[in-house]
Amino acid sequence: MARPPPDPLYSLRGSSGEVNTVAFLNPNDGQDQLLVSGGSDGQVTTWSLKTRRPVCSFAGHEKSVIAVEFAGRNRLFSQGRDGLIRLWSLADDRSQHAPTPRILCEIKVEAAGFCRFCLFRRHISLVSDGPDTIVMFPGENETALKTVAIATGTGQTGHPVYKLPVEQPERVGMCMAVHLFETEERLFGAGGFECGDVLVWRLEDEMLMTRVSLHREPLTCFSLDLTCMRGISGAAENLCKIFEFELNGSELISSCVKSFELLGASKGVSDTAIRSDGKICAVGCWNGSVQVFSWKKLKPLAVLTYHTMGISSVTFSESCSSEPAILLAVGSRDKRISIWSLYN
Amino acid sequence: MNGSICSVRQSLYILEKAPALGHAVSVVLQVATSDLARSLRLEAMKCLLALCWCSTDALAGEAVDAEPVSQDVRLHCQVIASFLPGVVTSIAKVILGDSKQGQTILSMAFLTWSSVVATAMSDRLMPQDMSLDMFQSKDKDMGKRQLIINQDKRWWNDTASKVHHLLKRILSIGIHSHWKLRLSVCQFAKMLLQNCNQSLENCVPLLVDVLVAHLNDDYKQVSVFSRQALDSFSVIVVARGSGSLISMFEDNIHSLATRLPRVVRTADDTVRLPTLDLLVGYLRLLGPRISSLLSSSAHLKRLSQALLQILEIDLSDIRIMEKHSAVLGSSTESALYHPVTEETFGHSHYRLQFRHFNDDHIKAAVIKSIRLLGCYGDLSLLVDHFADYFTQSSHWQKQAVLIVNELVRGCAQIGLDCSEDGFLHCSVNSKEAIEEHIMSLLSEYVSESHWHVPTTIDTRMEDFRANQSSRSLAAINVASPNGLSAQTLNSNTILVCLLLDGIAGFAEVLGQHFDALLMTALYPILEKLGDSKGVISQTALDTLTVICQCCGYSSMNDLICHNADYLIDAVSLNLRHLDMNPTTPRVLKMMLQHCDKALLPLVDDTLHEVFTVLDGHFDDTALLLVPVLQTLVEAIHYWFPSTNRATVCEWHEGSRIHEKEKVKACSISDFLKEYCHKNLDMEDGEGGVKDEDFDQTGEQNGEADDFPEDKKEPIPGHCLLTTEVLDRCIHFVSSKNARLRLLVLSVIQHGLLILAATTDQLLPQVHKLWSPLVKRFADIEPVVLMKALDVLCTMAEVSGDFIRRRVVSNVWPALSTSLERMNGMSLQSGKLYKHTVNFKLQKTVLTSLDVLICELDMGDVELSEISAAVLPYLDVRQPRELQEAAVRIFKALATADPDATWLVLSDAVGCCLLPPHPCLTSVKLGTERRPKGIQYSGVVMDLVCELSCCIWRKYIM
Repeated sequence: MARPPPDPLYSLRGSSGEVNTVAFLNPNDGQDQLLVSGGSDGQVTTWSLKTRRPVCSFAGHEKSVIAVEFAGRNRLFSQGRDGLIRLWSLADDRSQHAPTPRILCEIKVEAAGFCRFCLFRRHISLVSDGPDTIVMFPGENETALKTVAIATGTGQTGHPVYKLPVEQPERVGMCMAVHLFETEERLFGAGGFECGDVLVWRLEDEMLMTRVSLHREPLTCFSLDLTCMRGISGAAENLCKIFEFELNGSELISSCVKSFELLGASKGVSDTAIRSDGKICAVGCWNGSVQVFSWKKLKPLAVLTYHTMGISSVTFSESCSSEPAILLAVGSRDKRISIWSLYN
Repeated sequence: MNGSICSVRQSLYILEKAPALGHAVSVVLQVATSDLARSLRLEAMKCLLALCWCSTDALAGEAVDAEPVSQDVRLHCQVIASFLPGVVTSIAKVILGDSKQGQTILSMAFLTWSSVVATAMSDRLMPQDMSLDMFQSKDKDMGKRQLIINQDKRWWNDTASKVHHLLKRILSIGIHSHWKLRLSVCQFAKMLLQNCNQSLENCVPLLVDVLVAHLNDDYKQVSVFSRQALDSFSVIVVARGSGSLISMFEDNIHSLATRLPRVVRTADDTVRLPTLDLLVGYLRLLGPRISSLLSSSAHLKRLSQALLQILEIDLSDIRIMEKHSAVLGSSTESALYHPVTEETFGHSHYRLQFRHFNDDHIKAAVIKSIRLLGCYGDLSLLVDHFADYFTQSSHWQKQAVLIVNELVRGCAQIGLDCSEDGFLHCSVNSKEAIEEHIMSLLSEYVSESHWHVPTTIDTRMEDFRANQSSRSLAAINVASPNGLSAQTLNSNTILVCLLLDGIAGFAEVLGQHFDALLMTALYPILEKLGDSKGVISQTALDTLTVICQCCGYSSMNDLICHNADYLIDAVSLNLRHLDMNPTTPRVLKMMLQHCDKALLPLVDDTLHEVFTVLDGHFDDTALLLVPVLQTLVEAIHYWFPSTNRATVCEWHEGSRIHEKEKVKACSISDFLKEYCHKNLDMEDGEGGVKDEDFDQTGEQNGEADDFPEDKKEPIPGHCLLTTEVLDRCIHFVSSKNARLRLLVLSVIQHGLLILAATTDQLLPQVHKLWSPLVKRFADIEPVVLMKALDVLCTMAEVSGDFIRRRVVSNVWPALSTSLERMNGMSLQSGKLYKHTVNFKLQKTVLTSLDVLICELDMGDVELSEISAAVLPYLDVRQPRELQEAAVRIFKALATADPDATWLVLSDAVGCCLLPPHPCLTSVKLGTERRPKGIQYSGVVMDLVCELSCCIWRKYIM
């Protein structure tokens, strides 16, 4: 008899709205591991994974929050459907009476959509208070994607600002997902579009490098693994695609390698994640299940059924000394976040 | 001599005076030992003290002067030393003599003995340098010189061994009954320890034993004194760093530990307690050195063996077997919601019974010694050691857990009164280390293999079997054990209790910090709180109370509500695999049982999960989950006391008010007056009612106009929840499992009471429930039938007229046939009949009829049918309870329809209507339908008379 599907390690309850997005803050120097979630009611909540309870919860946006991301221990980016990306200064979690978080910076996103922003953080900031983080988000019309550099310490925005152009924007449709990545010391920006394609630009000269056709339906999400230059994408259909990049001199070549069907009759995929050790990847589906595959061979490993409503977000934590097990956090529209420890 | 000064001392204690002095001493001794007069003996000893120039104050004092001993003092002591043998033997005789000679003499003797010895053999006189001959004066007077002993090393050793011998004899008399004497023994020991701990090194263990044995004296003076004495002695020991002493203590402990199990097994309490006190005292004396003692494996092994053997637990106590006590009853409504802070249920508290002793003092002493070990020993070493025992054999398990619990308590110095013990400084173990240990211990405690040992006949099996075969209740009760002996079950029960107690101990140790562990601990504890064994749930409750106190929660409700998220998380995860976690519903049940309505929004989510599971699986899980629903509705019923029910009742009352008043009227004259009044009143009243009705409808119309869409009050959450519960229950009313049917009916009953307030919710539910319920009136299980009747009564109470016609058409035929069928059975039955199911059924039917008549406005036909069916139960030969119930029914009937009832009754009794006034002729009623063979009691006659009286009043007007 097959082993029963695994159970979550635990779940985080008490979100007032549907959970749209979750992100980990990985602990260093022995502090608690934190998780942040954004809800459909505009609330941003940070959770301590030690006590499994909210650390602080505040109204981040007027409308539903679609993306959150930590940038250091007490800096947090959030993006709402109100068209704003905000950088928050959180209180140090050591102070008992935490004052409400402060907005350090606000970026206007012109494009109306569900596309989540993405961050690229330089590991070493050369100038101490200079911009250390690049934020990428969709632009409007001819500008497919836009980036802004921010100094997270002060909230000052600065250069470089890139505008990645696209011809015939009505043909590619809305941008659905974006990723920034660096390979061979060059920054690239990738965007997944309504037409089902992923387009990649080189940031320094704002040049479109490659375009790979993946889905017939609108693409919803994709993830990249830079160690093997491979990515997985999900769309509004019961299919996942695997694609690869190859850097050939200054050229970037991309190709769709594999297509596979998901188990069960899910109408679509809402989020994908690849674990940092490159062993497994997780696909969050609209029907509330999370499917786990081995990343190398794409062998189906488990179907995580816990949530009663669609999955909105899946994300893995980073392995670190104090928390060797890599956790998977799943946010769902049933207002719960489940934490899993798989194949550790 | 007391008044004399040093110069006298110089001149007296010289060699030349020694013979004279010796004579004086011997005379005094003679008096002290053999004189008959008490006071004389006392004086003699005082005199001796004076002669020997023993300043007791100086000796008792703690000053250890560092200054070198002057030559004359030395000489003085030397002179005394030469009298020593005579003095000590004589005084020892006094001490060992007649015990009736009085405590003053004895204590004086102790004082004398110790003072003389202390003077003669003071440590200060110990020859530091043997090569230096202290007696330069060699040639003076050899004759007298021989009288003085030569204090060389050999002398010291010889004397010490002789003194040791005597001391042993003196101390062999054990503990004295008089506390002053005990105190003087302690002083005696202290003085010797203070002054002669080096010279009389071989006696030190004996003396320490004395002090240690008095540590736990009932008299505070004695215990405090001995504690202080030990205290100061240990200061001396520590200051000197005397390795030999320490190793001697260790040897003592070793031999004590070897001896202990035998003593505890065989000796009586008077020997056990001192022996254990000794152990405690030694451990206390060693203090921080315990950890080095325990690093020797021989010591550790010996000690732990001793403890494990002493603490063997008695498993034969019948109370371990007890099922859930009534206080915490699993399904009885009365058991719900006792406030946690109240300590009212202590009476049923189970205490551990040990096999070898049952004295609390002994237990306290053992526990104290373990805690001392925990306080000063290396916790990780000890815990590991006892964990080994735990895994080695199931025989040691319980003791090992008990010891580990106490070790952990000890390392936080719980129960070790630090204020009294000056030398209890701090535990060897750091706070962080303790916390870490507790964390790992806790996870070990609640691990599957230890926490879920079978304590009852496997419930899962039971339920399974119940599902499989039993269609009747009887089969469930005959459950065969699943191969586990009662001994094993008891042992497991005790183990679980000890684990729970351990968790309480962790909470005590960690205090506020335990909050962080609640995540792991709370769920298992609640699981045990719902255990069917009374002992376990009681212990779990105690543990929770301790946790509340330690973590600063005001009540258990507070505790559970604050940590509901942890509980709910665990519950909802476990509900996914209910077959593997059959105890999960218990936790939810306990949460509901011990909390207030603040919990409801928190568990709402989980309750819906329960519903989902119930929807998905039918009978197999229902038995596990329906109890949760039952607790839920009971809890809701308690949390939201329905206000409307009272008004419903009032409304019913109102409709019957006229009849009642009629019955109550007393005399004709009163009645006449009242009648006039009433007529007026009634007219007014009716008018008023009409007006009101009109107003109300008018208002309602108005409202309806204002809100053309039917605007309703939002339905309270708990009502919605109840509706959902009832929806699920409908399916189980006709379950094959009788127990489940019973449970479900009980759920329905409470659910109806909750919904009584919201008619909009209630009536559709009643409608839905009706047809499954009706089938229960033909249930083969009488118990279910009775419960169904109960539910029917409740339904009648809350919904009134709504079910009148249904009752008449569906229920009444079944009831009347069963009543008729059974009246023959109960007729002329013996006492034993009262214990049969039939009797109970009859009684329930009659009682519920009573309620039904009151609540439902029955028509004439129905009433007469009821009276016909109940009439046989008025027979005197029926059991008295049934008669009473029948009389109540007739009273109810009389209220509803006095005329008809009277007719039936008088018909039956066959009495003629006595006229209220002689001028009226008596009326003979034409009907002669008197059933044969029924004998009526006086109560019935009274009833008839009362009724006829009323009727006369009514018709005479």
